[in-house]
Amino acid sequence: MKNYLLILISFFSIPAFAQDDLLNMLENENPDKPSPVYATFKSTRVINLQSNETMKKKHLDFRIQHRFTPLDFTAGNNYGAYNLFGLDGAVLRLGFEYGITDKLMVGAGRSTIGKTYDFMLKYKILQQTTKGKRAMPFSLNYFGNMGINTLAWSDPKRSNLFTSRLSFVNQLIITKKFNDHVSLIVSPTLVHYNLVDSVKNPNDIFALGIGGSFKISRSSRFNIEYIPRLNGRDAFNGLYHDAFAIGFDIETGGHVFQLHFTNAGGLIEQQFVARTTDEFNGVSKLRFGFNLSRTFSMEKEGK
Amino acid sequence: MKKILFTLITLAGIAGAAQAQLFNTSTAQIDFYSKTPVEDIEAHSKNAVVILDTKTNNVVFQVQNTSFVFPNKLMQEHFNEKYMESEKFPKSQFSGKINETIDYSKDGSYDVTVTGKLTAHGVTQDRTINGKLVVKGGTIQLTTDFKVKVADHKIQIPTLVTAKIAEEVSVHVDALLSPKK
Repeated sequence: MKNYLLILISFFSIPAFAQDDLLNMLENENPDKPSPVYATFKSTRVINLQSNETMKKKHLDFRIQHRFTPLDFTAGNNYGAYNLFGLDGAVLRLGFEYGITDKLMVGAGRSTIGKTYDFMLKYKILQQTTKGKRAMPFSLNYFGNMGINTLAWSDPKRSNLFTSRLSFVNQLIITKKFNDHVSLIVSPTLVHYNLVDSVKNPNDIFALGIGGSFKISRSSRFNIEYIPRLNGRDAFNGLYHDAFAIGFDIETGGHVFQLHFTNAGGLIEQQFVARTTDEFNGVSKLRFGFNLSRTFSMEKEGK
Repeated sequence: MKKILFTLITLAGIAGAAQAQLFNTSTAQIDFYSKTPVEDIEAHSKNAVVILDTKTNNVVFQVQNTSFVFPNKLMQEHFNEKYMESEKFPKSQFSGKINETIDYSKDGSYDVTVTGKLTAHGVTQDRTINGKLVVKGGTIQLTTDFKVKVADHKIQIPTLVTAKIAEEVSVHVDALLSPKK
């Protein structure tokens, strides 16, 4: 009878769970889900190159981009100091960029060189996700733009076509954030100019943008990029060179300041990928530049 | 004798089924608010997981930091990248024990205190948190409001933005638990 009673009691008794048992239960039932990798780069640009970042839905980015003239330490007659190391000459792009969805960003801007208006679109095709069973190992974006040069025609008597003003960029952006400190980017790029100065020179320039971003502190990063052209290197009588840039991001809440040195004077791909006139052969040919980005959320507060 | 035993076992089974021991949810809401004269910030997660053991009064909460949604997505990114460091510390959790005796078998409302450990940003703090527990129609609702000092969890705020982020963040939790299947 005693045995029966024991068995009976064991049926009635309910197991007691310690807090750790409950935590383990949670872990098992709610394992870490792959979530999108954030902050691969600090900004929508690495320096000159587009990064994989886009404005999130209903967020507007107002960008001011400046490039000055070369530092010219070595130009003689104190030329560099005379121009305050390039600060007396500046080119500017003002731009607005807006997230229609979390994946699609559109933008428009105007830059000094060629009095060019540009209209751009960037789309996140693949988004890198954190570790997990079906994690995506890298991000893939498409970037495209159209530039409209609005300089007065150099020869108004000639029959000039509007289409001659247009240039286009198509770019794939492949990025990977390896860890909290290192992100790399590779961007196969095609720049097309409807009009070039001679039939001997190519309308299409292919290039391969490469770059990296390295976290220094929670609010700052070091960036570097290089955009070698794959064809037409000797065209245009060797006038053009590959763009190189090195710089820092400093983020202060809603602002990102990108301060850098680059041999490229252009601010859109049409201008810096295939139309960089200064060869990077020493510090003297670098220009100081900065991008200033201010983000506004158009989403209603609360909810 | 055998018959009696069989009946008893069956009864025990029915009794066990009628009163569940574990209650849980995976859609508990956690909100937090940071208020300063310069800027009010708030964020919401609806994906916190909770289990309550009604026999031992043990209760655990867990939330994935990346599940917090901010109206300003830039803040959301900074929250994860700069403050919570969600890649290193993906989850925040609380595990504790309800100090009061509660009759889970009938409807009722209780003011409770829960003593346990709050872990965020990899730092664990002993806390006793006041809350409310309501038993109603076979469900249990847990609500609480408490404050977290960001410095207690070694979350550093850069001097540039100290005016914008409160030193003490208010947290609101609302969890409706049903018997665990």
